[in-house]
Amino acid sequence: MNTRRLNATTLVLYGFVGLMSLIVLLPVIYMIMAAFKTRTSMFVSPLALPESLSFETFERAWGVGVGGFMVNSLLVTFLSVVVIVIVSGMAAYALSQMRGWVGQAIYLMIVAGFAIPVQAVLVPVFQIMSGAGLLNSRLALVLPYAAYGIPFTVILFYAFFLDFPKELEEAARLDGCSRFQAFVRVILPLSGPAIASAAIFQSVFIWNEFILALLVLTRRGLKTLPVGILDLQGEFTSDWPAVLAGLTLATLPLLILFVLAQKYFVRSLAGLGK
Amino acid sequence: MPQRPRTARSDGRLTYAAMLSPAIVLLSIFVFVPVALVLYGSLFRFGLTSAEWTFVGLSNYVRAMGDGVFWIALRNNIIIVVGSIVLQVGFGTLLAAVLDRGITVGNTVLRTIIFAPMVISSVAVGLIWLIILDPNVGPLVSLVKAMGLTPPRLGFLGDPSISIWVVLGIASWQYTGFMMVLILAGLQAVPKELYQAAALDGATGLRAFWHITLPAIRNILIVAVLITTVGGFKVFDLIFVTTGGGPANATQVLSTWIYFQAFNLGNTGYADAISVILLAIAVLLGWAQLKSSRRA
Amino acid sequence: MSDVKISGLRKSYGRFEAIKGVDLTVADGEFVVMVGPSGCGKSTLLRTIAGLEGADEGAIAVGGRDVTHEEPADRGVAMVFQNYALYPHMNVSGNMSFGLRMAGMAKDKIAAAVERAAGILNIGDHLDKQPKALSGGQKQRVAIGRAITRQPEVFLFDEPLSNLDAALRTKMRVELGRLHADLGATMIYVTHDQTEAMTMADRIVVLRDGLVEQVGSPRELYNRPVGRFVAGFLGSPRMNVVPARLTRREGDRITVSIDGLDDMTRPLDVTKGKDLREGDTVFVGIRPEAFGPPEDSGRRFALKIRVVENLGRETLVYGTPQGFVSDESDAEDGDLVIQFARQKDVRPGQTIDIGLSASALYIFDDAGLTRSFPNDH
Repeated sequence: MNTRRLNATTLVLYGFVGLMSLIVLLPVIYMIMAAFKTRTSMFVSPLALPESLSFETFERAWGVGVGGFMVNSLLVTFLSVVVIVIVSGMAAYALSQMRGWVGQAIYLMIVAGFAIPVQAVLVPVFQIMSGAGLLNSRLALVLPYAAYGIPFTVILFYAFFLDFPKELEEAARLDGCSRFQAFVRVILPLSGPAIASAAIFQSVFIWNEFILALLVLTRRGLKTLPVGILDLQGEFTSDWPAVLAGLTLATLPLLILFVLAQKYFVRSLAGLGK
Repeated sequence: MPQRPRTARSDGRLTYAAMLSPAIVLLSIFVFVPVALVLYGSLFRFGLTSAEWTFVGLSNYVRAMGDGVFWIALRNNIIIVVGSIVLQVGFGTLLAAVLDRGITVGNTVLRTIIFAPMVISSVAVGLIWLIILDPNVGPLVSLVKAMGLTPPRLGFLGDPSISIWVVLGIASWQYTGFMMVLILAGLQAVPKELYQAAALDGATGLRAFWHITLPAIRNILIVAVLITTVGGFKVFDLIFVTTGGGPANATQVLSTWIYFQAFNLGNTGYADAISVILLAIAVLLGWAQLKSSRRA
Repeated sequence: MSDVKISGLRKSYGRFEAIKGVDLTVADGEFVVMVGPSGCGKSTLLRTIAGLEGADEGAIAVGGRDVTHEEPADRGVAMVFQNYALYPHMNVSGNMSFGLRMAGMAKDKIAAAVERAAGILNIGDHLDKQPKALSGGQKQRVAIGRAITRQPEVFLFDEPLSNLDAALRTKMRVELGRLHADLGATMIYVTHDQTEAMTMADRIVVLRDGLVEQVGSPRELYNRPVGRFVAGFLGSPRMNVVPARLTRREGDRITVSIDGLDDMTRPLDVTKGKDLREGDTVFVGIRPEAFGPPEDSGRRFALKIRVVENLGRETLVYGTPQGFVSDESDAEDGDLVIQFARQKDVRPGQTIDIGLSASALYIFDDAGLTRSFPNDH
């Protein structure tokens, strides 16, 4: 009796989680499937499977420059994450070593930066960029991305560094390291997990960032994926299969990467709650 | 021992200042100075590219109070915040609880699937759903018709009375999995002995969830609610892509309204005033987050 | 010469004064143990010698060279930490050689130094292992090896054995003693464990609230503590202290009275300090091993036994004395602890007679200073 009830409960639970998975999966499956359809069959029978496996739509979408957008996104993301990790790592380490109110005050200031959304300072950021003549340059994305990635990363590193026994740094200094050398030769090599966490989180965020890229980049050759794929819509008015093919090209690589490395993604994003 | 002559031993102040300065410079240029500029600019009337600034005092704020779309935008932000808490945190908690203790086979696969939309850009998510919900070619309309129901005449996103709720649904599609993973991490940190002790005290199943699980993850739920709230006030990409704030400003939110005023209409000072209001909300929420995490 | 000379050292953290003016000289080749309760400043003092903390005032000299403002690595000191502080990303030989590599020493010289240190500590088989593959005892041995490799003038130890279990601690204690004899190096060792202090030190420095309370050989400090603090800190179980009244003073002889016991007359050994008068409250200190058989001790009292600890070669009896209560002891509620140097067949609830000889007493004034010592010390 008891086992049967247990089985029924399990069934309901699987049903619930399974349904949610299906709701998540169906749009993604639809995107890939419909990318193979023709424009006519999209109109006539929206629910039907594609008639043939032709990659012609993908070629059309690729022609808009999805490959270039991807390279731009890769470049911008990579540079930004490198800057974020280096700058935040140094700052967090200094803060974790500083006693007294100065360090506390600076830490609080950086945390306060975490509360400020870029959406609320769009106008001045645009003014600064345009004043510096940086519009339509990669630097105009890398620098603000780095700035907005710093608070979260500093908080993450700071907590990580505080967990280090301070004796490690002291042993290094007795062994002849300066403070900075102790950071580079002892603390950094041991910070792999924190660096990976920060890098993954910031990569996802920057790879998908839209609003700043929309403001700063108008030249097609520089556009990142999110801004670039928006062009698909304008390029192929009512050529929905081509748009979907472009979206598939743009999203599938990251989705596959995510599935392969999901453990690390989950770990780094779950760390947010701590 | 090697002897290197050195002058007065520092307490590291210079090293630390040097290590801190890049972060402080970047934050100043792109975060703190813009905040000051937004506060300043909100007191003027000026165009994005014009050099002519007219001091108008608080009239930009007065204008916001009388601007119907501003209030719609604020209301929409609140709808998205409250709706996201119910849908994303609510379902996220349920899903996390099921994955944590309810089922034992296939957890990783299911978790991976539900979490996956998090890594897709909101722009792509918006475009996919734009096509799915399209009144002419969208499969959902056909599906609804096939079930013998009548879809909204102007499409799901074209009907001002429901469009914001549809946007909320899309946002929840993307982020419920993230909440689930966040809360799951909290659940897995609850010591199993606690459940064993509770079982000995007669609390199992739902009662254990209510009396043991929820109190144990109280702090992480607070964080989840705050992340969702902040996210709800920052929402931009999804709305910009799917509706552009329409139809008839029905899905306008604060960030899209700021963008529209500043970059389409050239009412830069007015956009700054709305920015200050958004900023105030964000800082208030950030402060709440800091307070709640201190207590944790 | 690698002596250490500390003069007028002061160190504060904000308003908290951790070290309030310490003068101390450690001779070349000496093993000095600094003890005291937590918060007494012993660790701060060690870290200031190492250069990990800056001194607010005063000077530190190593081997006659003023190092007060030198970087830690330039002071000629090496330090062994309580939690080992091994670099987790380097193997054992990497850990041991890091300091020499930082100093830019030639590779073959480094290898020789590591080999020598590994030989001394018997860790030659572990040189390629990662720290996490080692047991606690092995880790501490590597940490000591790391210090030896650098051939410092002075070794500093910060509670190095506190993370080890009791058996290992005893073993390492002996080994450290041997190491000191072999190397003949100057060593300064901080601990809160009085056993470590008593067994290893050439000289013990007892610190209290940022000041040196007393310096001397272990036996000096045990036998002739300057006051209740040192007397209570050294010796386990700790000294029993019983409040008493000064009933008579005749020149340099004082008579004290404890309720339920006959009066006891003792010499006033220390005249420095407050002038003792009749009627003053004083405190009588009795080591747990100083009680004797009732037959030949002069004074006797009844003790109601509450707890008996049979340790094999000795027996500890915790009980309530009749007529008086203790002010301080390892027993609770004013009870006494008595140590019998043999097995003793007694049970809780029993009452036994205990003898006490006046010649075994310490007498402290109410400021805590020792005024009278037992006869044989």
